[in-house]
Amino acid sequence: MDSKEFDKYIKSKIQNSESVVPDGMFERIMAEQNRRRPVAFIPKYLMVGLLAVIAAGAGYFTYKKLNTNNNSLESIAENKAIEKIVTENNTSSQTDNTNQTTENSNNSPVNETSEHFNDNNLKNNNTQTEQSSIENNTVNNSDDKNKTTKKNSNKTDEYIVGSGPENDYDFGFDVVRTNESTNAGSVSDKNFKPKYAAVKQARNSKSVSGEMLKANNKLKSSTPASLAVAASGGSIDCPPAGQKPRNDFYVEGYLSPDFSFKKYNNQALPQHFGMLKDSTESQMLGFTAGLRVSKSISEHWLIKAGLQYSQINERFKFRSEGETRITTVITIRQVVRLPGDTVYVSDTSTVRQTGYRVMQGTNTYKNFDLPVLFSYEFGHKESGLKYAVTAGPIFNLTTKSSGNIVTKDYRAEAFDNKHNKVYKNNWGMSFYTGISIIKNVSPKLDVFAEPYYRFRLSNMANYSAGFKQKFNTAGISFGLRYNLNKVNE
Amino acid sequence: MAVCNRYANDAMEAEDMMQEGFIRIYMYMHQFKFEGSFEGWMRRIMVNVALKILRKKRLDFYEINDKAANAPRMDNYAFSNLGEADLMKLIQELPSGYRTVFNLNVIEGFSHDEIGKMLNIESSTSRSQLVKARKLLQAKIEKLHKIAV
Repeated sequence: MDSKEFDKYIKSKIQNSESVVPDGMFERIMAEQNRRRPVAFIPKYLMVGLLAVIAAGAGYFTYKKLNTNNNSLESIAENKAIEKIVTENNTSSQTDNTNQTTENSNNSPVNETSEHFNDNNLKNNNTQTEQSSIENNTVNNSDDKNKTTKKNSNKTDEYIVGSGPENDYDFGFDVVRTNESTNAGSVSDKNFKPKYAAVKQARNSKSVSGEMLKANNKLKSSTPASLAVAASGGSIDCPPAGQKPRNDFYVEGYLSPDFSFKKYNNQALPQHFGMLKDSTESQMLGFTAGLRVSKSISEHWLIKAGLQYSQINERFKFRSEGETRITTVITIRQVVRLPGDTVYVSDTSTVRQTGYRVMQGTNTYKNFDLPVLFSYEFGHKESGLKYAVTAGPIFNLTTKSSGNIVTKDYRAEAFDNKHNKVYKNNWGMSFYTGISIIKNVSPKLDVFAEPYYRFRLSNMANYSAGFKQKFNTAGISFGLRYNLNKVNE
Repeated sequence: MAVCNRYANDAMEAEDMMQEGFIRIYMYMHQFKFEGSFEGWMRRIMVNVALKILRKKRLDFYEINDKAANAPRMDNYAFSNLGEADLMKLIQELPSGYRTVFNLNVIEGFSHDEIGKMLNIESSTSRSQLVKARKLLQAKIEKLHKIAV
């Protein structure tokens, strides 16, 4: 028989051969299929939910920012109109020579900058102050070009300190105005009106962004480095005028009911062991409690660190088949043969029962952790409500596990950190993300609620266990925070 | 189950293959286009799953007992009393690399080039493994025949 014949023979024999499918195979397949489904879907929904909440938060914040921007634009336009009238009046009282000097001095970039900051100053004060400030400025320009430039440069430094965060959005428009005002200050009313009308139209049509962009570019080249950052879209995180920078130092205490999702991955054990393990273990409600301190590092950002304890609970229920119970039965019989002659007969027998035994218990995993989190806070001061997005790593310091586990030869076995070390003493790092709602209840005290998700990055099982496992936790923290370093406003 | 048994090292592994295979079949059932036979489609999935599981365990394409490759040709009588179960058992006894190539080529009908791509090996390796698998299997049958006689 040659190779081809041999192959043909084997194929004919084997190809359509049938094997007996083990009992319960399809039940196991269905169980495995059902087990896999929720694991695949829960994180997806959580992720989508989390993204939606973050997007909503970002949207709200952006909307709020835009509103502030529009308000400031409107107020600038009003100020500008008043300012122009004053400037025109001043200009008309000057000689032609003065006009020329003003025009020359306005060509200096330093002067443009100084005017810009003058405007910021004007905006913060009342209309009366604005008028006088501009009058002085114009007069100074006409008196001595060099002197004015120097003086205005000094003012620039002064106003950088005094300008508030609300002015961050004003740069672009201010420069548009500055260019116009320089022309308007030197040229006649005819030139001013069309330009002002154009700006007004741009404002009405909400298409100021192009103008702002041009102005920002111009500012970049003419302002100090710190202001160039602001002009290019970054913000200088300054406190509002007349206030000290935020220097909050909180102590936070929190308690959270949570639920952990087990993720199991088989390594060296038969695949059905996973199902066996899964069928004996079911998750229960756990909790997390902790204390942390948080320190503001800027107007919106806080860094948080502390210590927390979290406990994952798991119900263990194991039904052991083929258990035998032997009961010894002693029967004592009394035989009265004659009066006074009584014999006691004792029979000892055993009853052997075969059945099943159910073992029940709770497996506990106690984690001691060190969270290092970053939080971004925003919200209304008036309503006393704040929102925060918090994220960061949590480092596990130590973990104590105890309970029972099923073995691959279908026995229940106790485990803990000292004897049967199934799980590691340190579960490594996990990633925490949460969204907080903070309500101010007194000047120094806040209450907060923080739904969170904790994603563990490392395997918690020892190598010798033959499988990989980790818990991801979702919960909601309720807590109090006390400000130890409140700056009174 | 028979397909899984042919590729697996033991019954436990075969069960794992079958379980994984059926989960995939349920998962991708909607992708079946009713263009070929459903049985063939299922068989192909089972084979792919079996290969995936074997690949995880790293197939060993090692040379064992080179003398077996020069085993004498067998007479036809040796096959006559060979049952299906015996043959399956003999195939299962083959080293995993030999067995996989033998199954893929002889039973499933894949070419050596296709096997090379599936197992990430050279087609020449596939050819040599097949020859050696065949010889080893023949030697085992011969041995069984001698014991029976």
